[in-house]
Amino acid sequence: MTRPRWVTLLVALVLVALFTGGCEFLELMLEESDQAQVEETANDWVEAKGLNPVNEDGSVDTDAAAKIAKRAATGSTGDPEEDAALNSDNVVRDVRQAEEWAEAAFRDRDTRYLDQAIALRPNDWAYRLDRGALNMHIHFAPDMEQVEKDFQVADSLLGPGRAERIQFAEKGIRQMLWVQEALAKKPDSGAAVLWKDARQCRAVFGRLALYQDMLADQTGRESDRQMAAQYRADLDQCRDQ
Amino acid sequence: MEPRRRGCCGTGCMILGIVLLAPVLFIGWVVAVQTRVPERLGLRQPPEVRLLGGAPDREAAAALRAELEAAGFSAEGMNLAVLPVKGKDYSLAAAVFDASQGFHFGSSGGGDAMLDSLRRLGTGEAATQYHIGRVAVHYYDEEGRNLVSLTAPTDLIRSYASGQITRDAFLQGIEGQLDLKALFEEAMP
Repeated sequence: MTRPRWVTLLVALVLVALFTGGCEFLELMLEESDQAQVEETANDWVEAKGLNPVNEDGSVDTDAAAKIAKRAATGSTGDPEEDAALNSDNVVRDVRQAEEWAEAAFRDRDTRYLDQAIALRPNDWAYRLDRGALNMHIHFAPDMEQVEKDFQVADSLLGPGRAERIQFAEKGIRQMLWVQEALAKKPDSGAAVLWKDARQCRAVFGRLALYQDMLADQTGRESDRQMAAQYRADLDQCRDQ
Repeated sequence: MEPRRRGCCGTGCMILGIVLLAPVLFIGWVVAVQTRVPERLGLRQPPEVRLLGGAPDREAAAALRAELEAAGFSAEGMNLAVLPVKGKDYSLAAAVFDASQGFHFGSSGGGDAMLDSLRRLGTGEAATQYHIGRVAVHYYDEEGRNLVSLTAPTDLIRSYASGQITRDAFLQGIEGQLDLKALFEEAMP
């Protein structure tokens, strides 16, 4: 009765091989199909734009050749926004890299990662806010000039869009509450540390008031306005001791 | 002292030199532009840095990504960012589909995946909610080469999606960038 066992085993092996090989084959087909679709669309686009330099009869289409030469020589479509969009994959890559550095900075409590993120994305306010908050969070006596400069540059980079301003304010509030909480948790410090350096205190409450006001401007929520007023009142506590 | 006059032979050589030199200079210039030498030397800022350097809208990117994944696009190898366009009141949605990182369009698209991705990014709920004014899609092949990039304003995408314009008219309105070398290599047996 060993023969049927061998047959079963063989069939099983063949099935496993077919299954695994089949999966790879299917995957390969899928990828080829994707790429074929992309290439077909590219060909259709070339034809629609009149960029095929070879006519059906094999002669040279001079108009198309001239268009290609012009584009090659200028490296531009003639519209800066379109040029930026066509190279936006570089921005997507940079954003991803900067995000990874920002995560590493908070994980390792090391602002040097944020220096790299800022160097890569100098006009992105997010990493300035991150660096300012992280400096306040990890140092007992942070360089407040640098912290304030980061916050001010972040403010200057903020655009007029409603969604962007809300995100900016919400991120700022989250971070300042995080800094405040961290200072309160430090042994033998708590509010005492926060109040010891009036600049740290003013930075925390001043920023919280600013962000709550910004949020209130965008959302129209009275509760945000009241929070802003409360934080402004808290600023009175900020005295060097 | 009278200046030395160039003879017929000298003038001929000069003209021949110019004729030979002009294409060489042109090709050199094209190579420099295509490889972005002026940007690398810091002589000019790339347009994407100038116009798309602001903070990305992470919430909008997550919403658009969710829409694409719900439509069957693979999460693997798909990178997406929503970037405010400097001086405009709208944002650009930029998607990178990287086959070398495992991306596949899946069952979406019905054989026209690139245009379908433009349509989905430009006409979904998230596009309206987050003021997407332009979409760009980039396809990277298995070797990690950027084979094709396409971009279109959302107004044009909406016209196509609603059937107001034909596919051909839509393609005419799109701007693109192709890696001709890679496409040529793909086409060769």
